Parts: sequence; C-alpha cells; structure tokens
Amino acid sequence: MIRRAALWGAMLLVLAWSLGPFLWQGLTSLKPTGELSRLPPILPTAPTLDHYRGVFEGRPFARYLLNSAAVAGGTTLLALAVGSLAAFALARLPVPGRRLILGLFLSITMFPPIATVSPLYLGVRALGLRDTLFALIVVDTTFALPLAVWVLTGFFREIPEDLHRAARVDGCTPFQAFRRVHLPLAAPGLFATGILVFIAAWNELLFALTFTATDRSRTVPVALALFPGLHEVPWGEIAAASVIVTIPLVVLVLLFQRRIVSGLLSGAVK
Amino acid sequence: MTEVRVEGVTRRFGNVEALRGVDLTIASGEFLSLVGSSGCGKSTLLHVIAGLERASEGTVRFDGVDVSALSPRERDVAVVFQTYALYPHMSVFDNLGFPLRMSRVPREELRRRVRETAELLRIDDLLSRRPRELSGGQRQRVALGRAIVRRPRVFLFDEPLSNLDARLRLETRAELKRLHEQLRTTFIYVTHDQTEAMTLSQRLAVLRAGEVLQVGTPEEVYRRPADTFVATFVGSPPMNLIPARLDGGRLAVGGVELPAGGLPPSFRGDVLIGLRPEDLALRPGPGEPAMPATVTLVEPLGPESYVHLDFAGHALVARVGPDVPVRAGERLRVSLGLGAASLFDPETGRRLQT
Amino acid sequence: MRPVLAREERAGPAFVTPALALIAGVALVPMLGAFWLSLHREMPVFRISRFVGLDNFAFLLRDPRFLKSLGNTAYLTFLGVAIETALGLGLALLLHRSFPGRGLARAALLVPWAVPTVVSGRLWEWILNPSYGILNHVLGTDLNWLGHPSLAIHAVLLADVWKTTPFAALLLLAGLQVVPRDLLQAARVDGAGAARTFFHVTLPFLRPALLVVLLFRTLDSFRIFDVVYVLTGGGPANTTETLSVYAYKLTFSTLDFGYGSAVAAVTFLCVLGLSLVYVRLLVGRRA
Repeated sequence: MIRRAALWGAMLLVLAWSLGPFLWQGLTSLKPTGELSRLPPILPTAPTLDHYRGVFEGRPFARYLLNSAAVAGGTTLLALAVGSLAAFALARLPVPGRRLILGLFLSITMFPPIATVSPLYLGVRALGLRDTLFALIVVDTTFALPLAVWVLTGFFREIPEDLHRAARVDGCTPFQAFRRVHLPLAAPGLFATGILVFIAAWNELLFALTFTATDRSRTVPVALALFPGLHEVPWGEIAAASVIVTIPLVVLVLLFQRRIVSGLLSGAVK
Repeated sequence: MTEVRVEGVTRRFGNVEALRGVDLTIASGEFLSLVGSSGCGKSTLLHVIAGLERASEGTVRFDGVDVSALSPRERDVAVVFQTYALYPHMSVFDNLGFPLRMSRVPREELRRRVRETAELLRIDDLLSRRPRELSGGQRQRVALGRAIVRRPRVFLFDEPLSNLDARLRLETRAELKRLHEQLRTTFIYVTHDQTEAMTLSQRLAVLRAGEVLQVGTPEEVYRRPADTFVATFVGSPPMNLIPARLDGGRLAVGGVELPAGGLPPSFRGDVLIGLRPEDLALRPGPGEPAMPATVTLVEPLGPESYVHLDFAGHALVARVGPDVPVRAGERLRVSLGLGAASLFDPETGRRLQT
Repeated sequence: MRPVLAREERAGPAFVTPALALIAGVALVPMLGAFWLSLHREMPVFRISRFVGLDNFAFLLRDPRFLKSLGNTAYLTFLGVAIETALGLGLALLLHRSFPGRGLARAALLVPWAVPTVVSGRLWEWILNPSYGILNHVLGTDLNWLGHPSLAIHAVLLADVWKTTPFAALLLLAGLQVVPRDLLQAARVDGAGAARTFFHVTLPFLRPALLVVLLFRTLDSFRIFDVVYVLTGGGPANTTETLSVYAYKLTFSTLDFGYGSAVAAVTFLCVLGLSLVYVRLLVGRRA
C-alpha cells in the first residue's frame, strides 16, 4: 500500500518536474501585463488573450510558423527520401566499405555545428542563397541524415532477407524491390524517423540564426530567441509565443509517443 | 525443360569455402535433391544456381548457355523458400501475380494465370486474404503457386517442407511428386531430410562441407554409398560399420573368423564393413555363416522392430519383422549378410570395392 | 573475375551516393574548411586573409577566455551528464513497471525533450527572473540567478539537465528491458533486497546502455550552444560562455573567422578524443 502511494507520489513529482514549467508559462501567458510583475497571485485573476494577440501584432508570427513548417516539412521529406534509400542499400545490398560509410555517418554527429557554420555561411552567401529556406532545408537534412540512416537501417534489417531474395527472383530491380517490398514494410520505421527529424528540424536554432536575415525566411526558434525589445522585455508575449509553439509539439508527442520511443531506441541500441 | 550444369563452382566467404569445386549435371526435367546436414553448402549451391549469389569460381550453364552473369529473373528460375517469403503487405492474389506484374504480363492474362494456379493448388478461395491470415500449409501453397504461375525453366526448392508438421509434410510431399509428373520441369530440391530426398527424387546428390560426395539414384546411393558419411547419412537406422581385417578369403571380425563369402578374395588389410540393418538376420538357418551376439535393446515399432546387438564389443542394429520374438539379454546367432556388404577404407572412409 | 557487374552490385553504391554527397558537401567539406580557416588570419571585413600556420592554436592555449570557456564546457558537460544519467536511471526504474497511464507519463516525460531549446530557454529565463520569477518567490529569495557571475552557470546547468534528462531516461528504460526477469526472480527468492538486486543483477546488464547514454550525452553536451545562447548569451562576464558560444561570438561578432574556426576545431578534437575514450571503454567491457 505504502509502496503504491510512494509510486504515485513519485509519478506526480515526475509530471510536475516535466510539465510544471510549461504550466507556469501557460498561466503567465494569460495574465494581464500588470499582474506579471507581481507575485502572488499565482493564478491570473482576469485571464486575457492580449498577449496572444500581441504575439501576432508587430511581427509576422504566422509567417514564422509557416517558415518553420516549410523547413521542418521539407527537411523531413528530403531526409526520409535520401536516408531510406541509403539505409536500404546499407542493410540489404552489397556496398563496398559499408562499415566505413556507417562510421562516417556516425562521425558527422561529432562535428560541432559551430565549426561548419562559418564555411557554410560563406558558401551560402556566395551562392546567393542567404535568407532562403532552401539552404536551411539542405543543411538541416544533412545533419539529420546520420540519425535517419542509423534508425532506418535498423528497421530495414528487420525485414527478412528471404523477402528480398523472393523479390529478386520475381524480377525486381533493386529499386523496384525497394519501392514495392521494403518501403511499405518499413513504413512504421519511416514514420518514427520522420517524427524525430521533424522535431529536430523544427527546433534547430544555430543554422536558422545564421542563414536567415529577414522576416521573409525567419523561423520560430529564431523569432523566439530575438524576441526581447531593446528596453522592455515583453514577458507575456514571450510566454504566449512559447505556448503557441509548444502546443503542436505536445500534441505530436502525445499522439506518437510510442513511435518516437521506438525510433529513438532502434537507433541507439546498436 | 532445362538441363542445369554446374561446373567447378567454388564459393568463398572470406576465408571460408562454402562450396568446393562442385561439378553437377541435372538432366532436363529431372527431379534432383541436394541432401546433407546443415552447413554443408546445399543452400549456397541452390543460391548460386538461382543467381542469388555469385560463384567465386566456376560456371553455371542452362542448356549449355553460360548464365553465370545473369540475374535470377534473366535465368527464368523460380524459388520456393523455407520461410515461404510471402509479401506480408499483399493479398494472396497480389503475391501470386507479383512476378507476372514485374514481367509486364497484360492484366487479363495475369488474372487468368493466377486463377488457374490458385485452382490447381486449391487456394482459389483465399485470394483476397493476407498471408498472416493463412495457416502454414496454405502459406506453403501460395509460395508454390508464386513459383508455378511463372512457368519457369527450373524450379528451385529450399527446404520447403521443414516448417510443416509431420502429417502436412507427408501430404505435401505427395503433392510435390505429382506436381513434378504433371509439369515435367527440372526440379532442384534442397533438404536435410534424407527420407524426403529418397522418396521424392529421381537422383540425389549428397553434400558435405561444400563437396559433392556422391550423385546417384536413391537405389544407388542406398545400396552402394561412396563413403562412410553417405553410408550413415542415408537410411534409417544408419548403416552399421564394423572394423575388420580381410585376409585372403577370410574375414576377422572382433576376434572371430568367418569365411569371407562374397567379398573380393584378393584384398588384404584393415577395412570397415558396412551392413544395412535389414541385411542382418537373427537366428539364421543352419547353413549360413553366423556369429554369436547379445541382444541389448529391442525397439518395437509395429510393423518391424529394431534390435540392438552387442557383437564382440561392437554395437549393431538389426531390422527384423514383427514375428521374430527377441528379448533383451538373449544370446543368439546373427548372420551378417556379407553378400550385400559395403567395404570402406578405415582411414579415408571411401568405398573400396566397385 | 566477371566483366559485367550485376545490377545489385551497382545499385548499392548508387543508392548511398545521394546521402554521401550531401554529407560530403555540406558537412565534411565545411568541416575541412573550418580546419583550413583555422590556419589563417581571416577577417573579411578588414580584408585580412593570410596563412598563419598554427599561430591561432598557440594563441588559443594562452587565451584566458578560451581556457575559461573550456572550463565552463567541462563543468556543464561532466556534471550535467552525471546528473542526467542518475536522474534518468531513477525515472527509468520508475517507468519500468507497467501501470495505467504509463503511456501518458512517458509522453509527459518526452515533452521537455521535444520542444525547441529556445522555448525551454525562455521558460527558465522567466522562472529564474530575479524580480518576477517563481523560483525566487517559492524560495523566498531574490537572487539574480542568471545575472550573478557565480550563480549563472548553475542555472544554465539546471535548464540543460531539465531538457535533456528524458533522452537518458528513455535509453535506460530500453536498457532495463534487457534484464532477464528470471534472474531478478531468482535474486528475490535468494532474499536479496532491492538495493543488492539492483547492484548485482540489474546494473551489469545495464552497463552497455549506460555507456551509450554517457557517450552520446557527453558528445552532445560538449558542443552545447542553444540553451546558453538563449539564457545568458555567454554572460555574465563570460561565466557561462561555452566553447561553441565563444566560437560563435568570435565568428559573428568579432568577425575573426580564423580564430573562431580554431576554437571550433579544438572543440571537435576534444569531442573526438572523448568518443575514443568511451569507445575503448565500451569495447573493453564487451571483450
């Protein structure tokens, strides 16, 4: 009995620890500006949506959301396309130097992003791609590839080898076998990987900061980072913006918790 | 109707040789089995013939044409896998029709051929189901159907019955034999079960450690095994092997001397005598040369019994009919049936007489 | 051997090429470019561009700001990873049992990991606010968590650990599932208490997962940038400046591309060294 209670207590503690800060941010976002600088009250006495309105006024926040969606979506599609093809080949086709290639992918994850930023910045500027979403998508995809390939290779390996043999005997070229047999069967893995890549691309800050210059291509993390005005820090609006950005991610996590976990684990348990 | 010729095929994985200079000819329309215990290379050989793996050395010819560089599709072979390898995300109909789709067979013809094959194998009522909804026997038939629907030049089977229970295995075995008689296509069949190989094939090839030890009809392989491995692998209970010494016309076995009737008189030296259990006769008539032995164990099987004997320190197994009363511990005389015996070199294990 | 390569053998390399091309062009080449830049005095704004060999690295070793950032990074990394792993282990043990709502608990646990670092940065910034922050309110203090030189780095540690613990917890949870149940039962039958069971049965099986967690988190943590940039920007008085933040400032504020790349290059070498140590540990254990 006591153990049960202790367990539940611990569980509540975990929930408070994980979600508490968000709750606080949510409450903050609903407090009228006057109340922000006073504590207590903990709860807003006269909840208001002013801050939410404020988020969209004075800056094209909707545009930022769209940009983020475009970057995250584009990265996910590109990473899945390129990554699944590579992962399939590494899992099922003869590839000379397979270990070396996998090792190379792994070593990319060790690069400090800051090291590649300046050369990339110079390159992007030279190509005239500064302040475009395209450059960001390509870069985000590249750095998402190691994770995508590692996770997807695991999923492709689980498809029995005899199925590939059967496909070959039935007359499939490697690409046909990939498209008609392996890809459909690896769908859960693709989905899990896609979610992981989407989240990573959505949250990416450094490259977005470096490659975007104007509101035209700015993404949400950059906008949030650059929020403070010169004099007064609009805490209410920051809170509201945070909530706006958090909610879709929370929904995503709630819905796909199992897939996310399976994706993470598949990649890590080598 | 294709003759398959394997010439000097060697297959290496790093330092390991899975196949060693294999030469084998399978006649057009023949049913030939590749038998051996696991790891002997039989599946590897099948894969090389299919085009799923490339030989490190040697060639494979279909009707004299070198197909070594061709893909499985280009060789026009069909494979039935031990695991069936049915596409889980496709219906039975789509599984059967898949190879035809890949060959761009027009839709009407595809539908017709799939239906015909499904009817032939009695799975036409399962066409809309998914593989996971089928029983093991049904899956096996779909796997068969996927091969048949293609009308290939050669059928390759990789232990297709291993995953079935005993009764289904017997039924399917009979069906496979009938299928071969009907289709008259070249069948190459891999199995570790020598009974299967003996009952199904017109000829069998016994493999061990990547080498073909013997190729012949079931009768040949059974009656005149090429070495001790083949001798003990084929036939159940296995052939009895006793060390003996042959000198002139006399045979010395376990301290007892016998007239070596039926054995080559000119041979002189140590041998291994191979005797099939059914060639041993218990309590033979007075004229037959016989030896004393003790019964150690009797295994009654119904239509026959296996009698384990101790003969001068050697363990023998004899096969006797149901009407021979024997008890453990009994001492009796055994006739060795030397007329049908095989002689092997005790060092190399190879057969000595022709 | 064979004059004609089979389709399968050609397809493999072909399928891997797009990914390799991206990796080579967008990651590998720039990384090499960074090494190249680090050997130069490169300040485009002032039109300075000349080869200086290892001068940048020599300067680096005597640069107090570099050494301080190295210290900050080491502190955040090693202490952070230790805390994350311990907390993660506790969480994993907790979530290991199945109970109603476990999925929900896991989802809740994942949320800090899933949100952008900016969001969590802003979150903690607000909580740690000296005047209006709830932490000071609850503790009854009025400490300037992010503004005080001796407090800031610990505040950053707190925010970082909060965000990254879920990852460690998840991996350790997976590791726990490998522990064979019958061994645990045998231990219970033998009368071992919870602590002893943990140390003698669970922990040995958990070792590979633990090392993986330590490896990945250490490598990640050493390159920490986002959370520091948002919370403190490296201040106050560079007390929270990590290697990546210093490199960033050198490149984009001071516009000293050469030296900035040198700092980044050293960061990479440290990460490489650490990973080799861990791999040796992993492989050593397995053997």
